[in-house]
Amino acid sequence: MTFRDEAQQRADDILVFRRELERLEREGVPALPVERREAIARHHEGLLAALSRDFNIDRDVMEKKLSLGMKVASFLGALALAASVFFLFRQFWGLFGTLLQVSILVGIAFLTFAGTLLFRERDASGYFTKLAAMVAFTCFVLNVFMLGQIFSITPSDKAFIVWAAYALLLAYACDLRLLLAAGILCLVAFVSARTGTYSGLYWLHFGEYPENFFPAAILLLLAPLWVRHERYAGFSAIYRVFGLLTLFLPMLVLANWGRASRLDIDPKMIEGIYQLFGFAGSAAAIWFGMRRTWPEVVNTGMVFFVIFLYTKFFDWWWDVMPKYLFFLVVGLTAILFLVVMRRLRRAAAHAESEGAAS
Amino acid sequence: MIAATNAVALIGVAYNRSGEPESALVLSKREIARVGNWGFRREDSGLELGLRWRVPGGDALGYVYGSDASEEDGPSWIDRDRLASLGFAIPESGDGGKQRRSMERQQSRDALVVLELDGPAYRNDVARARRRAEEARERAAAMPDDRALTQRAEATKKHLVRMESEETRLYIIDAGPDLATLRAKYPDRMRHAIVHAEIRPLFYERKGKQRLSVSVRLTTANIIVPLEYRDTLERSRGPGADVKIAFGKRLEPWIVAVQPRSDSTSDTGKD
Repeated sequence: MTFRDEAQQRADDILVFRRELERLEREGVPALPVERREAIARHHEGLLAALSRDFNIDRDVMEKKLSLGMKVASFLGALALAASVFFLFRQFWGLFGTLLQVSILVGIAFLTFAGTLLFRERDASGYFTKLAAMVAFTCFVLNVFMLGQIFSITPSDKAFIVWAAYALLLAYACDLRLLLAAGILCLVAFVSARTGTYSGLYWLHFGEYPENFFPAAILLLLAPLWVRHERYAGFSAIYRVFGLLTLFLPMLVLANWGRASRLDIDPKMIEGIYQLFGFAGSAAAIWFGMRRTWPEVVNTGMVFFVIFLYTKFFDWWWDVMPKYLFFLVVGLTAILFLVVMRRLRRAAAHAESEGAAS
Repeated sequence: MIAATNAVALIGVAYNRSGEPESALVLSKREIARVGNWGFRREDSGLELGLRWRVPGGDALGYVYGSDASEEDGPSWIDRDRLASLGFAIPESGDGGKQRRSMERQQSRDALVVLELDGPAYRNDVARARRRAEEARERAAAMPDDRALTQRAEATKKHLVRMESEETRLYIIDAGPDLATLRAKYPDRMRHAIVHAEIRPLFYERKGKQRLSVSVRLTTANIIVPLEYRDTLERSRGPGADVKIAFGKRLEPWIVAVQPRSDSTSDTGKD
């Protein structure tokens, strides 16, 4: 066992096993002979102690709750420290000569990277590694951005690919989902800017045309198929969620504002086309997510399906319906949606149990 | 990766600043001024200067710096052929709705623009401001009871004074895709600087007539002041200082000299 997530999964399984054993005993079902049960308990205790020592796992529900708080604290702390580094530099950089400014920028990028690697070796919990990695990423972003400012370098979208590469390097080296998300955002910016420049657009305006984001979305959705992530828990899910967001958010904009499209046709027709794509795409995401047991894909698909549906309701009925009726229709639609989803869930469970039986 | 990224950036800077600059302009506080920092001035110890420029014939009393070309007939260097050379497809006049939609869909593109310092473009604008002030004064003198005419005369006179002594003398006078072609057309490297800009054509109606204009934003309009020039600039707040800006091989600017001005130094631009 080499990774914290695997260790945590094993500890969770042990807890589930113990709880079920206790339930069986209370219900009077003879599960295991006493000596065998004690032997298993001793083995589990040793295993939990070892896992706790080596991977700093949560051994019970209380520890898990505390861990969640620590995750939130480390996330906020990482953001705050990153902001602090930025403002610290801005506060004093004008007092230094150019050579010293550049030395500080480069030096601090190297130092924070080395610090992150050091934390990775010593911090089994990962919380402090996450903090250090976020600060290292910020320092590198600051390094490149400030070099551009100091020397009036022409702004370039290439900065995004360098930042993306660095964030992904830290994410994979330290198994950090926060840095993976940061890397993905930089990657989306780079690919979208490049898509825009191929049609002659000045790169900084890539956000003006939502269709520029579609190639990045496809890339993100395909990434988990190219790169195996068995060792990185949750990485594939993050790629898929960001892929879907990068796909559906521009679609949502275009479904309501056809003038933003690159297509040179009637804006109303563009809006109709993207509404259709939005419904079909989110329904397909729900179906595909259920088939592949990807809950994050199902949930993202559902959220966008509902948003597309409700924006259409708003377009059609907000002005013509009394408000009580409008909200009643919205509420009834939600209930209908729940019924359909429950049926789908049952069908999926049935298919799964049949598959397991055969 | 950190080393490689910094090396690439710094080699680019060294290349930009190697050899003779592509151009060099000596700017006064009329053409270069401290830029804002989004309310974080107390938090920012750096000093950043920004180029102040305008286009020929800019609206006499209502233009803005930085991204404007909203004068009545558009700058003389903007026409369909020039924009086509920059990659824009400008629709022919005809179907107004279609034309407007097509113009709304225009994207910003990278282009080279020519900055002229204290040249004919500036002098023409001063002459025009003087002519307007004179005309307004004559009308007001002919009808001394008309308050509106008197106010107009005062406003045009103030504008003339501003044009002569405060407003920038740095004008964007041309644009094109090719550096060599532009430099051949404007060979004076101490008066004409060529820089990168993002350009987007605009189409608007005024007085029932459809007009072509353009939005311009210089790509590297801001320059960080190195520590060695800070004192000189801070000490010369009243009359200001002459700041020599060089534009290198990649057309990226940097400060090469700062010379304090004495109060007696004149740059009123009167001619």
